[in-house]
Amino acid sequence: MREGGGASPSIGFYKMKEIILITGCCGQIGSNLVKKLKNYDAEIIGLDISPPSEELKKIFDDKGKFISCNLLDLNELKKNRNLLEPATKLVHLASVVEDSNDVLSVAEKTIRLNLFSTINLLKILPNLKQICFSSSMMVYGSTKYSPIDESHITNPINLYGLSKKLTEDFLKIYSKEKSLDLSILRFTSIYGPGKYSGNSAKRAIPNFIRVVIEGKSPNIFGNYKEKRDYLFLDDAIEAIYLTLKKPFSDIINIGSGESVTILELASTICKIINPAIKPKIEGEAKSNPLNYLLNISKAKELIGFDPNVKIVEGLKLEIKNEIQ
Amino acid sequence: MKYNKILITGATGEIGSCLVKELSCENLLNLGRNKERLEKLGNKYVQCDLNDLNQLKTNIKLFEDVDCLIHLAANVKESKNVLENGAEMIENNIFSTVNLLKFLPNLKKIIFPSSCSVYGIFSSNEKVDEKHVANPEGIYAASKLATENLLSIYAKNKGIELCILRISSVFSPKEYSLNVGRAINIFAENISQNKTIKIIGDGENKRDFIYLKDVVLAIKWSFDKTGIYNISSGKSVSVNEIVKILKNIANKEVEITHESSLFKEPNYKYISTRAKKSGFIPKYSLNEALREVYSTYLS
Repeated sequence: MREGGGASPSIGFYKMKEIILITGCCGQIGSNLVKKLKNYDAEIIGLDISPPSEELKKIFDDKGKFISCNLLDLNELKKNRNLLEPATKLVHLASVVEDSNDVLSVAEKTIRLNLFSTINLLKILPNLKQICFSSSMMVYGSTKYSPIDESHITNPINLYGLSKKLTEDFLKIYSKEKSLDLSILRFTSIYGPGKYSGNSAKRAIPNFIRVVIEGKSPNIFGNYKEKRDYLFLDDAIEAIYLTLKKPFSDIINIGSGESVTILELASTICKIINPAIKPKIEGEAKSNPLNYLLNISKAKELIGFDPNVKIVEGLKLEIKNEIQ
Repeated sequence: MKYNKILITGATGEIGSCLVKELSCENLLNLGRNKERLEKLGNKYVQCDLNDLNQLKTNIKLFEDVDCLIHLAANVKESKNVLENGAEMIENNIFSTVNLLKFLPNLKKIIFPSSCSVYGIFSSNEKVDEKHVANPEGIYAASKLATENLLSIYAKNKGIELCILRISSVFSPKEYSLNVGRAINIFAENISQNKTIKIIGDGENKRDFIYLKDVVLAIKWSFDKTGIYNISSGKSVSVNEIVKILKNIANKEVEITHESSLFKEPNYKYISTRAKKSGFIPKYSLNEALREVYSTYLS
């Protein structure tokens, strides 16, 4: 691990300005990260296949550039070479979740979209000093114990987890060769105000909120005693922010430090929106329910990560935003 | 054999060609790219490139009743050049597997010979069992691990039995090693011809070696197994020790030179824990196996 690192490495008397490239900058995490970096002493280059909001556009006009680009298209990337090449840091958020049980039909696509796009990107970024890669707790797959620490075996049970682990491995090999800092953040499920990207809109929290706002009972399928770890968006952004400020070369879990059962989650959402509505249990409680909880002591130690939004508070904020 | 039709991909390779010989049953279908070599193996075969969906399609009827797959075919050329070779490695090892599975609708069993390199590189005394975190340090190893994961997900969805064998460093008799160029074979050949042996580095780097015939036994054994198993001797041996044993077997003195190496070769040590009671126990001792290998260079 490199000592300190800090936000502004300097050579001689000149302060070298950091240039941070953020892929997937228009997604839920990306756009909030860009806003958080508004006053950060660095040039910010945003890259996304979708266009930025007016608010983001203003920040990019002020702090750097926005590039509209498909990462799978190397030629398109090369056209923006002059803008991309000077980047010293990469925050790689762009990613795709293919939602299908038909493994064979989506395997190639998922790997292409997640790994091959990353390989393309690295081809035009020769000046990187740090890569911050947003991975996922899905790399662990079925849990052997809980809370899950970083030395838990990886045994992904879906293609998303597989492609994240594969991309982690490739980035590790590349970073070792190039002696650059690879900071891998394995995120738990993230929730919070704003539009969820792609298939993540089907997740429990946005789904429950939508149903309860419509005046219906949220249905709970599967094992309602199963526990999950939900991290509020702002805390997730803080983790990336801390990683940029204090570069390291390692894998860290980023979770909330707490887990709730699916039933507690649904009940809490009902209570906030309309206490008359109660969740409807469709599944059954099995013995030894799984507890998908991440152990976050390494992140605490390494970057001082300390999530501070409790699930009730976070849900209130997300619901307030939905109702407005 | 409880399976109707066993498809062996990579049948003409080092492990494949030995396996085909040892299985010696009627219901094999060998798959490879080289027609000449396939014909030499004798069994029914299909000449096919797994990267090419059209070639697979042409043979769709042959694959229909395959109920057991031994998937040896792989691009094994390790490289650290992620940007140059990364995508190709994934295409050759993962996408080809996806292609193949699309044409095997009636599978009941998959045996996947993987590699101990999925664990990464270790300091000499670390014990690596199947519960150890996989941390591949080359793109071949990474692609093997991802293929394992893919097969696990697929097999679980489809209710197919899957056995993954993580094989350590293989060495083999002359006839099987011709296209491989392994150090042990070069040493054996040089000793038999009284030539100087060149060792790269100080020769103290250790590996866990497993004899080809034990690998074949392990594959046969895995017909009734599911899960992940290390297939290794459980002992690590240095290159210098190997040379010493070969010299003893040959009862010869040969000159040894050490060539400097830019890189310090890592030590590899893979211990299949017997905690997994059903773990595979190799039949050949290192001495016996090296004796067999050496004898193939005397003729």
